[in-house]
Amino acid sequence: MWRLLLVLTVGVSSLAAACPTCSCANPALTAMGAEQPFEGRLRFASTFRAWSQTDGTAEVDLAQVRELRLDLTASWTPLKRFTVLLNVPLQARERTDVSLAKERGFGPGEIDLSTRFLLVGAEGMRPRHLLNLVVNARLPTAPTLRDASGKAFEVDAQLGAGAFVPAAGLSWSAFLGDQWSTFVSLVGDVPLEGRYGLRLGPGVQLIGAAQFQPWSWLGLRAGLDARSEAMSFVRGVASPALSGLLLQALADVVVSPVSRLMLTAGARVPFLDTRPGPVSATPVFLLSVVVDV
Amino acid sequence: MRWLPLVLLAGCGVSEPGLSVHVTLQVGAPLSAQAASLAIEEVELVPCAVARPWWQALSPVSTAFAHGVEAANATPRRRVSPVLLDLTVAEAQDVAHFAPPPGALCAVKLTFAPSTADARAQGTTLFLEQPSVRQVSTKRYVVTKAFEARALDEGARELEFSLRLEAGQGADGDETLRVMLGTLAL
Repeated sequence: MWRLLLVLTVGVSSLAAACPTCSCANPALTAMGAEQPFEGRLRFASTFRAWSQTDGTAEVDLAQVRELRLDLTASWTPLKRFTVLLNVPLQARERTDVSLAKERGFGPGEIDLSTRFLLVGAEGMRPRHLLNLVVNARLPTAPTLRDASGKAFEVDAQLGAGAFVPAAGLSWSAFLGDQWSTFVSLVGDVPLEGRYGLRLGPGVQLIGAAQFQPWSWLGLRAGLDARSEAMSFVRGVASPALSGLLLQALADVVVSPVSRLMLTAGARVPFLDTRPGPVSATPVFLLSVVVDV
Repeated sequence: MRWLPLVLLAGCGVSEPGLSVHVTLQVGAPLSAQAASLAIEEVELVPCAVARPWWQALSPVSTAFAHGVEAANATPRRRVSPVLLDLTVAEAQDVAHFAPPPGALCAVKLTFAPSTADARAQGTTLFLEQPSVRQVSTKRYVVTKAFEARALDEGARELEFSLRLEAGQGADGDETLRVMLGTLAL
């Protein structure tokens, strides 16, 4: 009986030591990429998104693109200052043109390989600030989709631009007591030429969010997701229709029913769009599951 | 099931054709001539007038139109691709294919104008060469053939309009062209 009790006690203690909050003493419910790293931290996430966008002139060249997207993400911290993240999307996309002709595609999208170097916050058990250098590469892994006759789909029916996209930036997380935390990330990217001679314009993405945790298991997050994109080119010819600034409000509800599991439901709602288009984007809805191993 | 990973890696695509309209023209009593042609420069499908909702009628903001597109003169309902009809054959000839947006159609508008498509027509609207006579016309005519509203939508995805023209002959090229276009019927 004592042996059994001893085994259970040791087992429960080691389980407790492995829990992410216990290992870093930080109760904040963090999104992938915003977490406090500690050696050996391994996280998996799957995020489901739904969005649509309409561009063109009604009765002339109007086209609607709808997408359901599942991102499978793994993040591993082999060293306290170094984290590597891999994101593999699976996408189902449908493009409907002005004559109601449809192109539907399903497959893997473009894989992101990202690394984070912790610049500030490695010292101490529970740093208030984390500053990371982020270096990211988007790989042209989405296959060129074709119909049964072999005809390649339109560029916006494809699951990605088919371009190598290097990116770099900074991310900052701040933890203010047990209830408040913030996250800001600023990343710039410079896409190379991809499918059909399309070279998307260099872009800058700013994400800023504040999170309030009234209880340890519930977080309410609100913020801004902004992306500005410079002129795109198709075979060297300027294509200004989709270049400009898109501002979206973000709102998430984060729930952690058990210690290693985090569920997020949220939306990104566009409220300013300077792209000349004509283009209009619907809100993006997302559901996410994050597991700390 | 064991192919699933391959499908996930390779991706798959499927396409579904959209709405389509096909316009043809058949020459009744074709001419027996060495060369006889009629040039069509533009074909347009005319949508039925749609009543604006009352709230749009009240709106002080007027509807915006895409001027750039109008200047380019090509829309999914307007083809600016020149066609040269052979007036010596009896079979129906293709005039235009469209992939238009949904909406009821009420007319087809054809613009007969000097050919820019084929050197054989020598820049004429009508070119007629027989052993004893040659007739030409460079006049421009816009002919609209109205019909009862034909729906084009998810339920009726394809329409075909067959035009017919009687190949008569007048005293000169201009009169021949006018006589022929007078017989144009749907």
